[in-house]
Amino acid sequence: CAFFRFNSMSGVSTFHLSEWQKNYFAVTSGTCPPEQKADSYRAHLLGINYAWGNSEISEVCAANLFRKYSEKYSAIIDSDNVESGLNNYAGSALSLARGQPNSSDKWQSSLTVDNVFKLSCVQMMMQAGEKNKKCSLLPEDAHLVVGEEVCASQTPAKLNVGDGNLQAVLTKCANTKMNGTPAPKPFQQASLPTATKLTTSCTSPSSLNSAPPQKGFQGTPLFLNSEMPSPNLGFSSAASGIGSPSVSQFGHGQKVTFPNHLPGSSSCGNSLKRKAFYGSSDATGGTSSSRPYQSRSYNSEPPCFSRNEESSMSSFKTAKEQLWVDQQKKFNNQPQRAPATSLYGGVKKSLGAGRSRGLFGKFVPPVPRQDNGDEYGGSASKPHGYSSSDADAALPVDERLKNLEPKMIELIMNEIMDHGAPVNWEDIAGLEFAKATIKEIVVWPMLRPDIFTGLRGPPKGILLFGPPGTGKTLIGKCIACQSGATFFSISASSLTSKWVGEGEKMVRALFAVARCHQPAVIFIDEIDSLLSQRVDGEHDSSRRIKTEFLVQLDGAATSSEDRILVVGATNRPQEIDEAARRRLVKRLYIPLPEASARKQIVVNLMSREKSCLSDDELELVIQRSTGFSGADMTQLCREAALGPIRSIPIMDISSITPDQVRPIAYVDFDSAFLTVRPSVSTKDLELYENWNTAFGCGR
Amino acid sequence: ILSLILALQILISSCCHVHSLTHLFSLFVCVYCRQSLKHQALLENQLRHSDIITGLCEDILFTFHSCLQLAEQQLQSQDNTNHTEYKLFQKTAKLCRFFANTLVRYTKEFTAFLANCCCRLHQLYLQIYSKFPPSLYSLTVSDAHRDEVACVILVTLDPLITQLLSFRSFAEVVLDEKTIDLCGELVLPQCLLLVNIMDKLPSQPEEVQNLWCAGSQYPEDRPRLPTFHALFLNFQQCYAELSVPVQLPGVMVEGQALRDVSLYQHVSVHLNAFVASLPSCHFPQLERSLLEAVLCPDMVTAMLATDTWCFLARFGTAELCVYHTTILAELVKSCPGQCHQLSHLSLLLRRLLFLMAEHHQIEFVKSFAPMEAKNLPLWQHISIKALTPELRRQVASNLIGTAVAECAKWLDNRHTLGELQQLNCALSTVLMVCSDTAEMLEEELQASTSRILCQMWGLLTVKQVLSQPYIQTTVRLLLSISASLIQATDPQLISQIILFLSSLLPLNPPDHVHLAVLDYLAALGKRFIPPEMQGQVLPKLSCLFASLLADTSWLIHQHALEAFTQFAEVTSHEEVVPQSLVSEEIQNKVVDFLNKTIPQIESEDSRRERLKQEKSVLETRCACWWMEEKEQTSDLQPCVKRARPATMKEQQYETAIQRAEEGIKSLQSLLKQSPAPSWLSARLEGLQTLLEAISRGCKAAD
Repeated sequence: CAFFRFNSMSGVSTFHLSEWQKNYFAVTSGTCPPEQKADSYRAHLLGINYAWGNSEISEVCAANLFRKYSEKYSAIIDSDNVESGLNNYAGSALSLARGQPNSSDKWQSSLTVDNVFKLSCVQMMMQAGEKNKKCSLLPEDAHLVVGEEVCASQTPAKLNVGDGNLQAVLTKCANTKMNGTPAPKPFQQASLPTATKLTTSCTSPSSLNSAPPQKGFQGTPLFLNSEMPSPNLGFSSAASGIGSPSVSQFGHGQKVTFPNHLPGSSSCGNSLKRKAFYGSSDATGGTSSSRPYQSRSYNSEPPCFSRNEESSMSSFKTAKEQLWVDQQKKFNNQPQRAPATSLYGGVKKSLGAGRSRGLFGKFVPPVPRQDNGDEYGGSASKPHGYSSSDADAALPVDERLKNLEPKMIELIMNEIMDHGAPVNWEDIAGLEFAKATIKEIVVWPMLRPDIFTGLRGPPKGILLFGPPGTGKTLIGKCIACQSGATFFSISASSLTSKWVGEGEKMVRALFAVARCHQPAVIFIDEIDSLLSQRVDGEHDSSRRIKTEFLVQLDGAATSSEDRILVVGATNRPQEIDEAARRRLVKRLYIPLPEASARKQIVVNLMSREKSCLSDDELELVIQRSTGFSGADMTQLCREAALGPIRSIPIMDISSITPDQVRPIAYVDFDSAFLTVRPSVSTKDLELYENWNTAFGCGR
Repeated sequence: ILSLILALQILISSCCHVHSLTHLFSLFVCVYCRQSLKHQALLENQLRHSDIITGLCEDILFTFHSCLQLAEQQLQSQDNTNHTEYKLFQKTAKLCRFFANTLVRYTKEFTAFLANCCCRLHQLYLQIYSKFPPSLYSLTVSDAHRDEVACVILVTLDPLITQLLSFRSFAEVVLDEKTIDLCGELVLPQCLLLVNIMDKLPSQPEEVQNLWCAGSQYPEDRPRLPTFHALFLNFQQCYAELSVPVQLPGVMVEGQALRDVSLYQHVSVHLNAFVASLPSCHFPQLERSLLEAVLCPDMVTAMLATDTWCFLARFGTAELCVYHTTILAELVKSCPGQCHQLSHLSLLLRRLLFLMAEHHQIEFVKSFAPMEAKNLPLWQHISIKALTPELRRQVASNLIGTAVAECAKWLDNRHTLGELQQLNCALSTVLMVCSDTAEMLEEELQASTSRILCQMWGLLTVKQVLSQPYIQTTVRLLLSISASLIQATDPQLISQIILFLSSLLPLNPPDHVHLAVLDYLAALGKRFIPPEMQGQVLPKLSCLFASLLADTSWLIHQHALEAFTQFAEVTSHEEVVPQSLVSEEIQNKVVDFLNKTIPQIESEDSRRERLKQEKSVLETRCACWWMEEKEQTSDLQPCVKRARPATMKEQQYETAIQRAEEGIKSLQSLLKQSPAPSWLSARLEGLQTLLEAISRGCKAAD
């Protein structure tokens, strides 16, 4: 290494370096939230900007670095992926702009190709570009042949060649233009501004036929470079030359496309539409435009995104297939007792892996197929690839869903409809009273709607409350399975959205979809967060969501024939809004499991494991676990089950066979009691008891 | 009543001189306000508003400062239990609030008469915010104290701004072009003020919005910038605050706790919110301000404008987005050479392309056909990742085809330097396609690209690279293309490139070549070098790394570290790694980097000081830049702003013709009074011909 040199950096540079590295490490750590990443990249840009401003790096270098880091930065900003993107800060911005009129659909650009070139900032850009172009190439160097050293004496001769043939070349250019045949590309590109200006002056028709010799042609750019017209002139001719045809094109495009944009679209419809171009689970418009962006910018995306259009199309279709299949089910009066979950699970397999054509082969559509075009208002922005799958797309859609955005329906279908293993009443230990009540008011009416009419009609809502970990969710699931109803399991967060207005729409869509899938059970875990007491000064949109929910639950829009049951589960019943409390007619206290229930849990869990627990020991365990919730009991058993494993020496763990693990003994429970404690305090229990006596429907 | 006023006025003026009487003075003002409510019409004109306001502002500032000083003392003494001190603090705070409330009340009553005081009020706002955290010029106080003071004064200042919002003079003061050039400590407050105003504007009536958004429209107005424009100008000066970065309270979004966010995010969010509720009549102004900001030399401001534009593109209609994209594409296409504006603009173009609807993308590709060589200058700036897979494949093969044909043409011809720019453009397009879709590129295209690469590398000479900027660019592009096609490159070519680089690098080529070399070396890690060439290549490789790691420029040093670790992680030639670490110092640095140890951590205070200094460096540089640009523009074109001079011309015409008319009329009246002198008729005839000539000229112009 002959050229090795090392000078230590100045102090200030070290600080810059440290700062850069600090940000670099933050970005590469992998645990960095997108906001911080964006901040770090911004800090990089600031560093580059300063280094450029302080003449530490050249402009070209700054431009390259700028490109590199701004790409990374904008991938974060423009993505609507919740984990890795910032969604253009739309969440915060729109919550700030909430309640303000939105006239974005009326925005009209005042820039045109002509007037934009007259803006001083644009002119400055053109001049800067021209200046850099001039600086990087001195006119006398233009003839230099790359790759060999040329002596200066050759220069004049070449200039002559170029000069002599210029006219011929230009007329040829004009000629080819008239004939409509493409002129030689590099030449045209290089001389376009000049040629249009100069052809007027050179009008020797005689030279039309003289084909320019090869050499002259080469010389031309050289000539052009040395005789460059004043930048302003050349530029303006270029602008008019390029600009005029495209202007007319724009005008045309505008005329055609603007009427397509629905003028009455509300603010959220609008923002939604644009969001659709980003969203990973897209419905109609712009499906494929969003996907490449995401899948390429973020490698963490699942592979199905990088596949071709078909996969995303099919995910959209599956939602409709779902509806269609469901209608079929009803039409054919198929027994509804079949657990809905299995059906959905079956369909779900087809998600993202080609469409399940088998379904279409089996059924003859019961209703005449509608044309897909008028189903959705947004079909104007339908991608082209769509037409190829028109046959599939023309599925009948329940007309109750007509006014809803297909995207939402799909979201509800995909995210909210629950597909899990079926649950039996036997899986729930204890809680006999609650089970009986539920069977009486829910399951039977669902099974025999003909008997349960009038006063016997089922309630619209049930509230399950009690300490955490006592099986409220399990009961919800069980209701769905046993009643053969479609089960929608939602959390408050899937209803609230950062885009204004979407929350209420989601609620409405949820109920609309549920109505199409009757009988349906909508299970809302932690319902207190959704239906907390309405207070002054609360967030506007959450209030709207609440109101919408209450209206949907029991309001003008609901009919008594609807067989939709809302099951809410909470461990903070006292926080629920009184209007909601009224609508959730049956309020069942789900207490901590009693001794018998605890025993059932333990026996049940232990039956799947090897254990050598005697009855006495079992009783002891049950006794000691007073105050444990179901979840605590499970945790206790898990902890105990680990006991035998812990007793295996570390060295043997890789070689030991499953048979050699000793059965679970009381000792293991003994040690498990040391680590597992009841998660519910007596004080909390008192609270539930009190609320139960005040509002509950139990004993 | 009049005598009462007089008495009060005397009292006030005496209070102004005697500082201890300030409390009393304020009280009187309060009384005064109430009194005047009854007899407003009488009193309004007789008050010396500016004196009163100035006095009040001084009082507020004084108490505010003493508040903060007390808070700082308490923080230093670490003695929070000291009740007397805390009581003193509270007392001062109360006083401060009292003054502020008085001021708010006063301005509410007499807004119309305060035209001269707007400047003072504006200053007051800025001064208070500049001394208050998170400003870099504030005193350090504890959070509790900060919140208390914020409750006292910032809360009261807010309605003041709301009141003044509809007041024309206030808008003129805030949006004055001169106000934008504030001294360092007032920059952030001004930025916050503008953001605050933007928050309030959407709920204001239309005239108020006009006042703030439209800018000055008539020449006789005091010049006033549109609010967004002012914000962007102001934002450019926030280098220090952005670098720290200053933390500001974020926006409450459902389901998320309130957090502090960086200044950039704060401004971006509020600007986006403002844009979201912008009425369509102000849209052209916004658009222009955005374009101007994108083209400004400051990267972060350009980034802010770009971010806002992207938000706008998503929030607005899809047609608007495609319209903007097309215009920007025209701009990018016709820019003659590389400049910072071009790189900012092309970034915006790239990002907007991602936001376009699919059928618009197809249209876009149609109107800027990738198979035409004249469109290559545009396509080199676009990322084809934005296109749909099908379209992308097609465009990629078109582009590569066109670009390779261009290169082949250049190679077949006499490859002069004059044509090199077109070649670079073609190469840059190839690079864009390769870096975006290298693995997806069809075999055939890869092969043709590699062929071109081979030929191009053969042409380069070290001497020319050092002297010609265009060839430097070519080298950079070739390096980057070779890096992205590293798997397809012939081993022979690799050794050739390494040989070339090891003779080029010691001669100190420009820094961007260094960075490209680093890219290439980092990519080389993925490649296995055949044994027969190892002896040749590997020692040179480690030598190259050693020299780059020892680079004096911190940016290159950092990138060398990144490239080196990247290389070391994947390479199968481990022996290169220890050989590259020739000195202990470099070794330590690399080890530190791998351990994620940051070499030197400076204290927060010194960092702030350094940033402030750096800001002044940037400002001088920026000023120079503007001067240069201005000169250049004025060389070629006398007036930068055309709109105003046009009306100026008209005014001049107006005055000239008025004068002429007056002259002729007075002549007429003279003729009535006395007989005309003999020379008059001749002169009149001359005037007649002149008039005819002028009117002919007028008609011709029409």
